[in-house]
Amino acid sequence: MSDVLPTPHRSVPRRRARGPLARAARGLAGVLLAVAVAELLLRVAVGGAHLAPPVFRNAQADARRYVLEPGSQAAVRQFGRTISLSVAADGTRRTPAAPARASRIVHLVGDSQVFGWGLSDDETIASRLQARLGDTVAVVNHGVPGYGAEGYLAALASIPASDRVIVLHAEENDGADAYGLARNGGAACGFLVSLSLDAGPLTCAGMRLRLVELGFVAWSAFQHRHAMTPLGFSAHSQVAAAVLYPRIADGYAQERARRGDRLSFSVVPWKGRYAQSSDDYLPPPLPQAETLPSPLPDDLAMPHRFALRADRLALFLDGDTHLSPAGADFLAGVLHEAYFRPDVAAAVTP
Amino acid sequence: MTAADPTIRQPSRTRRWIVALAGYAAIAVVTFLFLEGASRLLHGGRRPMLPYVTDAAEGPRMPRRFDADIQFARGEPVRVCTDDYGLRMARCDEPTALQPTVVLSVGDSQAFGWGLAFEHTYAALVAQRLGGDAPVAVRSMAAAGSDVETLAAWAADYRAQSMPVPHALNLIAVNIGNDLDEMYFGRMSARVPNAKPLSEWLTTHSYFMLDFAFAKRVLFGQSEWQLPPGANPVLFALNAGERDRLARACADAVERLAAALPPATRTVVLILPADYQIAAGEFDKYRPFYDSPAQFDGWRNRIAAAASALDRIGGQLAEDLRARGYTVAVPDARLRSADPARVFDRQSHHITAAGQQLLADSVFDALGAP
Repeated sequence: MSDVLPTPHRSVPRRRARGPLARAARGLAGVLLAVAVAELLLRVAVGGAHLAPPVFRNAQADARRYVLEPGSQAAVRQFGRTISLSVAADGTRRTPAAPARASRIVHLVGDSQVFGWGLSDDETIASRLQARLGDTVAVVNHGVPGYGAEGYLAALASIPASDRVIVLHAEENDGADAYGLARNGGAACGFLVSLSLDAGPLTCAGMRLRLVELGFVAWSAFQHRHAMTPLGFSAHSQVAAAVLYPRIADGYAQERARRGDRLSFSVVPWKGRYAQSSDDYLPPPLPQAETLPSPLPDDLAMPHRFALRADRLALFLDGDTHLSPAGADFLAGVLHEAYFRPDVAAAVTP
Repeated sequence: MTAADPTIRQPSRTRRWIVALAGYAAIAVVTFLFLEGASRLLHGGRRPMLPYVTDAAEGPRMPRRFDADIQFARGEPVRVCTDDYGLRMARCDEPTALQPTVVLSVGDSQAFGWGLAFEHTYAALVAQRLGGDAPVAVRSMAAAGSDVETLAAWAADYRAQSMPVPHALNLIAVNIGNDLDEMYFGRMSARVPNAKPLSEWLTTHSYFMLDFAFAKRVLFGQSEWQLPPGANPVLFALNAGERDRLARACADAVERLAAALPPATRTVVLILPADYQIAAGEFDKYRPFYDSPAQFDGWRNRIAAAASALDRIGGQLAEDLRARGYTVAVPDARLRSADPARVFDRQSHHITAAGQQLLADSVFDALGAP
């Protein structure tokens, strides 16, 4: 070992660039490298999936609205699993088993609960109902996250009066949506964002970084760490509820007259009914929240049906208020039982 | 230049970070103390506004055992003190523990007596007349920003502690110029304040934080959901049928509040009008609080319609409450008979000492007292 001499250049200290600019450049390079490595690791960890669904765009006809991007599809990592999400050519979420041509059509109208937030295409309420109805009837999923009664009425206007329609209100937020105020956000680069954002290609490239998506998801979770108790379920919102829920019900008067009993209503119950904790919701829910009838139009007493299930909390995603695959399947079963048995044809075409 | 002595052990990087952080923290504390001292000097030991604290459901309350001189926007400083339940007391030398109460006044800043010594509030004036020569114990469950719906939780908490002796009078104020908008728009979103215990401690104890909050509002304007000063957008957000529903729902809320309060021999509901219902010209005083003349004029042009809608809602509310067995005091006629400049503050909707006297008179009108 002693005859191994150190190489000459090893004994000479390497000249390092000095000065604030050089230090800043080194720092920037280090940060970029760290971001690139983190992005790579994150992509590997989620199998390349997105962390939020990139399937939205702003409506051309109405700047206040956003819609699903026809033909878009994505794998999305949500709530600990990877789901597949695709949008049909008509801008509705795809129901994989729906026949391309069916003599009868059933339309499900709603928000993210009907859309199937956190669910794969074959796990949505529409898909589970389709599985029960077979291939003589096509179920169309008109759910769009963030929509409320105003959006449901717009969807109804586009559906032929002869078709069967079930509107599924979300107890979680449809009451607050009935304020009818303009939305602040919309779609940008395929994502739903809470700010009005006129995004260019560079911004979109940035937004599609999984690290940025993760940041948006984390920020959203932080903002909603205390979920708002739906109107009417707390002592503080009885007055607003007494005005807004009748506004929702009244809004369907024309559609009820036009469609008769081809139009039905039910609700996706608010998860907080069954899992109350004053730490989770603000204002604190009423003690009797679980047994309250739905303040929204509901022909099926859906909250009561959920309450009868011993595993009712398993009907919702863990850590979120949306329906789980089991919840969507249960609700589809209730719809099937109530409206499509024993004679599907008679029920679909009154 | 001298080379560093290699035998002297240099502090580790972690140690240097800790020292630096401690230094920054010390600078921050000294700066805050300096600003706090400057604020106290500036205000001469009188707080520039009331503290703002909320309960678990974000309903506004007054802090417990509060005692300070408050310099409101106008007038002489006013001493404000509260008991163990946050109720405003008539005299600050009273015990703060629970006392037998004869008159309990419940409401928002109007019932609090914004800018007034307690003896000038209608609650004190009513208690004085009820008691005659003997002093009557009176307290106010009142906080700025509260409404008949949020007050129910405070009432229930108080009832759970109150003495089993019925009050002679529970006096509930419905400030329809504020409460309707708050109960409708105020429920649109839930806002959880960051570091609530710290911010409430600061708002109760620090003068600088009050100045800071005021400066923030002046510099950055109102938050998105703040209601336009002096106006009532709820009247235009609802159609006629919905306004009728709003009146009924408000009566329901009053009934829930009355049921939550400690029992009383009599309950009077005092329906307080908006200032522009009494005199349309009162709305002009809000002009400086609007961002632009166009914005102000937009609301100014709707004042006649708004007054008409509020008159109708107030009438429906009074009729509904009477049908439910409540004694209702409507002070509109008495207020209209006086010079608006004497009964309303010149910069806000608050009612002056002269106006409070008229409110007390209208309560006695309703009680049928001589």
